[in-house]
Amino acid sequence: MRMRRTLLLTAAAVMLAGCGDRRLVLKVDVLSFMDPASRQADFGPIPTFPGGLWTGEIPLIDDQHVSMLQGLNDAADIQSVTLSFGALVIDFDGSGQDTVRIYMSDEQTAPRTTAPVLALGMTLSPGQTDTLRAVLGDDPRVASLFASKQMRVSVTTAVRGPLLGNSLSGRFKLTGIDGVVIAKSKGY
Amino acid sequence: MKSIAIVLLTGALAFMAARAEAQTFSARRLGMGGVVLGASGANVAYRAVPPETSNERSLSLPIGLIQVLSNPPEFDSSKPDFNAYEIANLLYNVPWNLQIVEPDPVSSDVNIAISQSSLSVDLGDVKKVFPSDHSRIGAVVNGPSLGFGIKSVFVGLIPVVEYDNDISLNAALHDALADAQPFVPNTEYALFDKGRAQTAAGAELGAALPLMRSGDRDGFYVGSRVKVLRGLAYADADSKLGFVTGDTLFTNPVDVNFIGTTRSAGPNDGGWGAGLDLGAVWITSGLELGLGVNDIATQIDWKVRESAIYNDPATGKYSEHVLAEQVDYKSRIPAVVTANAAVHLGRTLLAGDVVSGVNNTQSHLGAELWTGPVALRAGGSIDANRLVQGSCGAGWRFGRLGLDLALSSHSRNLTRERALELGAGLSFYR
Repeated sequence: MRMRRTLLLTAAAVMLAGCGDRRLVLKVDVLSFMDPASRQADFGPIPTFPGGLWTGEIPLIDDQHVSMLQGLNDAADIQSVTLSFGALVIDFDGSGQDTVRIYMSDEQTAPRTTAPVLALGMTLSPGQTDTLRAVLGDDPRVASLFASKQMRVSVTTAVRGPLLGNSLSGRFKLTGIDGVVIAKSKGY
Repeated sequence: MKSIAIVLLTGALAFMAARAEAQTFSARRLGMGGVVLGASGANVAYRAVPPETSNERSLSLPIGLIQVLSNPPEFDSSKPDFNAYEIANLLYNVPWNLQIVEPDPVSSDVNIAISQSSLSVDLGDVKKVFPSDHSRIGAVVNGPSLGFGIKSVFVGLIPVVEYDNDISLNAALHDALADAQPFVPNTEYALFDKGRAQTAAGAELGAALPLMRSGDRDGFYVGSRVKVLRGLAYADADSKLGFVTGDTLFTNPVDVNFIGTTRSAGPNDGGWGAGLDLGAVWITSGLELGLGVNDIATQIDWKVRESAIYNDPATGKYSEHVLAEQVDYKSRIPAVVTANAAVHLGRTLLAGDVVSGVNNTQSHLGAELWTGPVALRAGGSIDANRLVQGSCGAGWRFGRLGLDLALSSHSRNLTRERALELGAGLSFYR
């Protein structure tokens, strides 16, 4: 079964095309700050069990520091921040469920001590590759993080194994975490 | 209230710009490419040259003020219409003349893309702000003089204001900002700024007289002026803003560092100074040559405070540390050299000049042809941005009253784009 959840459609991205309104458009490739080795992880095999075995939250990216532009908040009034997330979930075998959570926090706070900014649930089907894509927009907490000098990011996955059939095994692969900040310059 | 402020600001800037030869307000001169005509320059020897029989007094009309007052810029930065470039252009280009063609407003988005190993900045229209070389401005304003003359000798009181500023980017930052080249690892990006402003009050004593004279105006005239100055205020700053990228651009936070040194002095710290202006004019058979050098070795003594200013990247706050107080310092006022020439060929006047001032050299050429009561004018110049500009104009004389109109191109704006202005003035003939 394929499940795509889009919290905000790409309308925000279309806005980025812009037509010249003296805005500051800041695009941050958050994923590039992650260790390439941590961008994918295999899971399973998780055996069949009545009610399904729950792995708990497994950190894919654990407390990664991301440097931002210093003084952005002083130079511009942030109008919106859009966070887009992309991942592939490759189901080698078995069925189950997966929940991906993205945590973001300020420089002084461990990300996983805060509520996730994004939580995506999906159902896994044997032999199927699912594309996970979501866009989060206009979350004041995320907006303030992108305006800061540095932020911290964690990404976790939590898999529930099959109730019936073969054991669940697969691979989770992050393909993108992009932030887009649209701000009105204070200077011109 | 805003309108009154604009009018007052325009008047003050117009006065300073006119004295500094930075902008031409006379419609006659504007139509002739802004060329220096006789006493319109700063050559002290012209005090001894008799005015031409056709000499007029002119009144420049501030028709550009109507334009600005009808659509004043927003000065409140919290308002959506606030545009720092509009205000900066107002300072670059005193709104005395009517702007017929203005540079396109800076309105595009600024796009910044960041990843751990790359940073690109596309400033859109703002890219045009960064010159390929240094961005320099500056002027010396001497006067107006409050005084009187007896025969060849004159005395007076004069204010003196001098300012200059030089902004430059290192090559890496220039390429990144002006050409949207990506920022690269292990590179220093830096902006340098050197600025100075000083003002003094002084007394002048001078003399201008003909050494040889024949006919109404023909002769060789010389003039000199000694100035005794009392410093009122001085400040200079030499600062650097920059950052150094690491092996990967954003492995660690990028700290933007500012460090600068300043000297400053107030009225109580101002000392005495002196300067000298010299000029000569030679006129023969319709040919007129002038050479004036102002502020030859003009210096003022000060007791300055020396400080270092820097920012703390961790807090983003700026700190000033006083390094020394009451330090003896001698400031200079740069010399301004004006060379001008004019020749009358029948009903045609041809004129040209080169003015080498603070941080820039400009040259102008112009011609004026009288046909009955109508004067046709044309000219050109190489401006402070090293761009060739053109102009034309006409004058109509009705008895003792005349009307002058002129069209001229210029690049007095932040993005150094070509613009077109209309100047107007009244002439009162003798």
